[in-house]
Amino acid sequence: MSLRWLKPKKGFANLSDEQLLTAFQETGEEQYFFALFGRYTHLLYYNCKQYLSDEEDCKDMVMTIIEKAYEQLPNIKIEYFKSWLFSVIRNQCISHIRSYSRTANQTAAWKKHQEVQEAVFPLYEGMEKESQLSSEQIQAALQALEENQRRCIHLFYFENKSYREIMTLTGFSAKEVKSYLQNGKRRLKGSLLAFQQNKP
Amino acid sequence: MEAMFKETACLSLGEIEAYHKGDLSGAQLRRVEHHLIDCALCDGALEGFNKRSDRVQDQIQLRKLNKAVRSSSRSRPFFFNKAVAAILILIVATSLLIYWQHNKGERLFAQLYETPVYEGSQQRGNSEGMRHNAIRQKAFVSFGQKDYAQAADLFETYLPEEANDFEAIFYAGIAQMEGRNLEKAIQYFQSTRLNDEEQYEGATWYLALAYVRQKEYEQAGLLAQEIEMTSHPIYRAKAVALLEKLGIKN
Repeated sequence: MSLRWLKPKKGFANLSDEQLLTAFQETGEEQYFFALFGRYTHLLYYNCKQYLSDEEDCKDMVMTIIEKAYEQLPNIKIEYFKSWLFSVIRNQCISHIRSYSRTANQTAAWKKHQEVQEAVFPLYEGMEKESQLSSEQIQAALQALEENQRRCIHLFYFENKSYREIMTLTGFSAKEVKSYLQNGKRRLKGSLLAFQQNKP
Repeated sequence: MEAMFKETACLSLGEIEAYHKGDLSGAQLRRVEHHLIDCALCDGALEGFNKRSDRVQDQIQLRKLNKAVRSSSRSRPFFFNKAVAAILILIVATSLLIYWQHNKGERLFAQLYETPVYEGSQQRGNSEGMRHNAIRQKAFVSFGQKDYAQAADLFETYLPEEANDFEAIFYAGIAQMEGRNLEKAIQYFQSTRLNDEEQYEGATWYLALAYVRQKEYEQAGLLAQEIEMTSHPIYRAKAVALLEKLGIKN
């Protein structure tokens, strides 16, 4: 007879998001669900703050998102939790704004945000074998980037410069630096994955 | 190059605050900026943090959220652990059953017991017994006033000198039973029923009840059957009721 249920279920810190998610989906025990969402409460709240100005509305929106997630999670397959969570926040906030016909300013804010964020996830997936690539292939991938992207990637990753330092050195705005880094990294990853797939 | 694609942990609230204020430098700043490139969730949170207008309100709402999530994560597993729930139900059910069985005697006793009313009798004893008579009277006065502890004490003083006063012995038994001194009560009722024919049914009935209260149901049943065979209208009916409740008679 298994006595697993007697063991205290503490110490979730060592479990990844995906492990907590799987545990919740397999057992239905809410402790896993709340341990998972407990990690992201502040991120959920401030993501909502992008769309909603009132603090109480933000809190209510977070609670709504948690409730919806609780209903949906047992029945869906999620490969990358943070990516999924980000899209849930965005969709929920947009839906809220639409239903209450908020100001055009807020709608513009989420559209802008959507443009910047949409292509970001998941950047880690499929990069386990990156170390097997040759330095020539990495150089080729870097060369394939646009000039501004390559410059920002080089300054950030190879010269360890901060955003502010890159802004000073290049004259780019903070948003431009971030955008070049995000999009540049994305393209870089695409090139590296292509090299991996074409490997004999 | 490998580190470039290595996943890092999301930003804590402290890191977001510190980055927003420009308080980070060196490795801390590097970690935050490296993470922000990859993590739309943290990047979005930082954007939201930059837009905040009321820091105190933010803290209040965040505290409420954290409290709600923390309390859920603590309490739910307990309630939703089916194995633990089943064991708890079993323990509670068993406890209730034991409690029910344990209190069977008291329940039966409470249903059937009525304190007999003392209607007074002739004073006993001779001139030497004047003092004893006074004690006897006081004992019955206390009994009439439902001061059974006082009555029991007075009977205890009186009876050693008047071992044949079975009326007093019977009421002494009642006073002892009221005080839950069952051993003594049984002793008095036994003495009364064996020696005083007039009080035979009454003493036997209260003796049966004393056994009920002591959870000696077999003994109580035998006494009730004994009363059932008499023709006393009141005690016979009571004995039949007791036999039914004990499951001896349907």
